Amino acid sequence: MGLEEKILEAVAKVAKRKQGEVRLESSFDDLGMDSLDRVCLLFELEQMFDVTIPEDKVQGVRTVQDIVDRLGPHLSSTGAAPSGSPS
Amino acid sequence: MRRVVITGMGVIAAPGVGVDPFFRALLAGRGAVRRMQGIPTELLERLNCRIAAEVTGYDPAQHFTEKELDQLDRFSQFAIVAAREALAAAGMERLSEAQQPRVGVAIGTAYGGTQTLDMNYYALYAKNASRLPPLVIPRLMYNAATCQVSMRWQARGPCVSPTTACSSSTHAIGEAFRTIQRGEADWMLAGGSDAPLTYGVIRCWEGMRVLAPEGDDPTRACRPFSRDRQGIVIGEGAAVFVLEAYESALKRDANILAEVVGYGANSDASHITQPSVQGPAEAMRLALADAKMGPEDIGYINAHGTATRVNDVVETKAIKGVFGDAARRIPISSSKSMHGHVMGASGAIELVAAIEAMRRGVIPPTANYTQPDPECDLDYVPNQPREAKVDAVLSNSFAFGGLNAVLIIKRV
Repeated sequence: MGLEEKILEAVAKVAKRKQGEVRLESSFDDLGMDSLDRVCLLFELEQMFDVTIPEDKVQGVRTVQDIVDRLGPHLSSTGAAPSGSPS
Repeated sequence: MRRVVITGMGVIAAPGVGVDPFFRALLAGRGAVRRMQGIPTELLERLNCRIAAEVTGYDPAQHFTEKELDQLDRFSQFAIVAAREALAAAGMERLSEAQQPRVGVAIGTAYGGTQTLDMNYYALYAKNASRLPPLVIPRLMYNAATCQVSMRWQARGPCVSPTTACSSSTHAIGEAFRTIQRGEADWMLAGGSDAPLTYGVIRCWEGMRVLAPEGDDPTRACRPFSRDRQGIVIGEGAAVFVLEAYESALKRDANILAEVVGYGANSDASHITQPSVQGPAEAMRLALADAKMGPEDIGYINAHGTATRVNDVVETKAIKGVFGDAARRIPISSSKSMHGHVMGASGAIELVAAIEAMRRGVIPPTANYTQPDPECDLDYVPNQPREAKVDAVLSNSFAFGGLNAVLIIKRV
């Protein structure tokens, strides 16, 4: 599973949506995710990738794609991200 | 001061979910104590005490969405389930915009979200978890049940979460009564909730050496006032009432279940666990004075009756001190014999029993009573329910730390 799929999975889990319902262009507002849900998303991602995500990495994120863009390098650089690996 | 009545109530406890099944189970005189099912087997096996009055047959998924459950410790779930029943009974499933700022919430609790805390400390200490979920804090805080009830029904009046150990919900109801008397709210959703059945909590209680052993029949483990009583059986559950200004209930043509007429609260200020006789006695006197009643006016006492050696003797002495000759005439029972000691929720759950006793004209028994104790020599309504016309009930709660709270309700 690639990085994007993993992030989509984490978003779906927190937003209590079916996986197909969450797309990269989905905004957190559209998904009904409030500030607490967004903190929960960071926890999911930290658990998933076993990394610590600093607050400043995610300030102002609006869509799932924003998370991918902001966190992609961070998650890849930890070596823990399964980005690009065949699922 | 304004008059305050009860126009709805709801309960979830081991004997039953809902007022009618709960009270009918109490009248059957059978304890709802059994081997705990909610604690993982490998942990349960390490406990000396493996019994409790655990709520069974309750499926959270039937009451809440997955998303809601993320935020709800078991004690908050119980509070909402009880509040929902209470509001429905009061004909207030939805609060109008005009009502919302005039409705407050007071859910007492001794343990708050202790299951959430226990589970997460286990992950932290035993499993070396490197991080804990963000919802731990909103689930475990002691005011969570009050907040969740407030948010769900948009109750935007005064909201508090009294935490006075085993008197928590009695204080909650008493303070809610005062809040309406003073005119600060027209309705209060008041009661208590506790879900303390965790490995950690039971271990702590084992340390105090006051828990009843399992014996051959767990349903008989809790024996208040009986000479062979052997201690507390911990329970879980919640009860919530709709307290309402009398004039508001009249205006709505609401079904009035009872009037709250007396509240007495004080502190022994003596010992952190050992109760005094004077403190509880004085609390009962305060409640009677508040109600402008004398001993002859009380038709039933719902006792604190924990079934510890000390409590039941002290409570008996206190009742005799306050009621004098009338003490021998007044039926007294401890429904804890059946629903266990539900910690901070006990007083509220017992008030359901008190109100139903008055309404139905039948007093729930003290179950599991086998032999008289010379030091507990009053009428404890042993084992069999008793038909009686009751016009007013006094209900006692005495907490560790010596914090006493007593309520008196009467027929309207």
